[in-house]
Amino acid sequence: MLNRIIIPLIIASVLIAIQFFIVPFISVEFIIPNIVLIFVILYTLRFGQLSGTFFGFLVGFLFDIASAGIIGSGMFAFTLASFIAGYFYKEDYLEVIYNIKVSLSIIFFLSTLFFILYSVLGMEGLEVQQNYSYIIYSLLCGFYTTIISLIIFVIPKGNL
Amino acid sequence: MEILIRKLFNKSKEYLLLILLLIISLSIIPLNNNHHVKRIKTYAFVTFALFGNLVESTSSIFRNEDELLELQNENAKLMLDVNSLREYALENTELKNLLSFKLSSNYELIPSTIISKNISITQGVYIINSGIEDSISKSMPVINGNGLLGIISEVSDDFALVRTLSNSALKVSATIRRSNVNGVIRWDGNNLIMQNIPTTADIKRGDRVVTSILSTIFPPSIPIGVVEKKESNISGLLSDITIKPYVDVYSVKNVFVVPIVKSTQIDSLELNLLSN
Repeated sequence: MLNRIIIPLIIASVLIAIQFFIVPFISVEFIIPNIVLIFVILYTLRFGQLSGTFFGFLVGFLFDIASAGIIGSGMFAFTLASFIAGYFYKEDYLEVIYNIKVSLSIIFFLSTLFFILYSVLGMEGLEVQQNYSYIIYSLLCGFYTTIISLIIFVIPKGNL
Repeated sequence: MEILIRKLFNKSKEYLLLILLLIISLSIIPLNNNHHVKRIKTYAFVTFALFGNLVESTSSIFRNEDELLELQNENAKLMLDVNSLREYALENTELKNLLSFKLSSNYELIPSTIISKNISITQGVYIINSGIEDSISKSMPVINGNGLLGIISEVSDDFALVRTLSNSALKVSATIRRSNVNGVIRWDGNNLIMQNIPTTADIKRGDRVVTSILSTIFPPSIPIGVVEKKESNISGLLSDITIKPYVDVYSVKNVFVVPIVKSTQIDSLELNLLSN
């Protein structure tokens, strides 16, 4: 319980605070990485789909509360992203996480999906545009998140 | 039967959990305008803002921002002054007296610092470190030296939540200054758009856009931006005007709250209308 939920939730809360207080300083206009999502994906790859989905939901709630945005949009996006991340879960989780091609692909795909969902659900009245601006924005944010996620490979294997 | 259900549950518990959590998430979204949810959000953002303020005060120890803040305050006041003067040149004095509208820099602007930002293409909000104790109240406009930035949407004792121009929920009644064309500006996730303006209206690229006298929330003549392009819709009768805002909502750090609420009663009516 402590290792699976409480400590990860504390870490996620700290990362959420960093996401809103410090990460805006490294944003390029409105292109911004999501470090909380990286952590949620890693959690799911470490603990599996079921735990990951529930953890994504909890983190999404904290994220929505802290962002002062629309409650529910982050919850939905985090839950779905962590559920999909669960398909890449393996007993030997380090094999997946430290496989640079695989983990970067997972993070890029899921963060792009996250930003699409978060933007569309956050739109007042669900007026989704006909153009591709959401997709382009989400791809750019996904790419930025993937670059930031390279930091994972600096962490020694034993610490994950 | 029981075994079958149990087997089925064990086999598909991930999917069941996913569906349940997604349904909960989706059903919460429409409740965001609910009074109780708003109250929870206010408490939450205050708690979060306290932490943010701590980070901000710690970092501000290492820099002296007083002089900078003073200059920015002066700049914002001058912006309002310049705008007022432009108005004097454009408007008939008699009409101005009659309608008794003007925006002067007589207001003591309330300086404030952004302590948290949610950078998103649809949910742009800031938390600033001023609140009721600094005489800030709901629906006061927020500006900087360049123009309009947003509006106070929630306020607590020490903090306030600013809904920025890049928030799809914010709608601003605006006027294209040269031709006096009125419309409502909203963020469509990519641009500030003034929708459904008659195609025949005299609008040119570079025309200044300011807050409208018709708004009961914003004081008139606060600069918003300039007309970037005009696009006719399918019928050809109406056009959408794209506006380039003066303020870069992503890089701003210090802001000023204009301590004016035109009418609390009308405000609440308008805010309710806008949120529906």
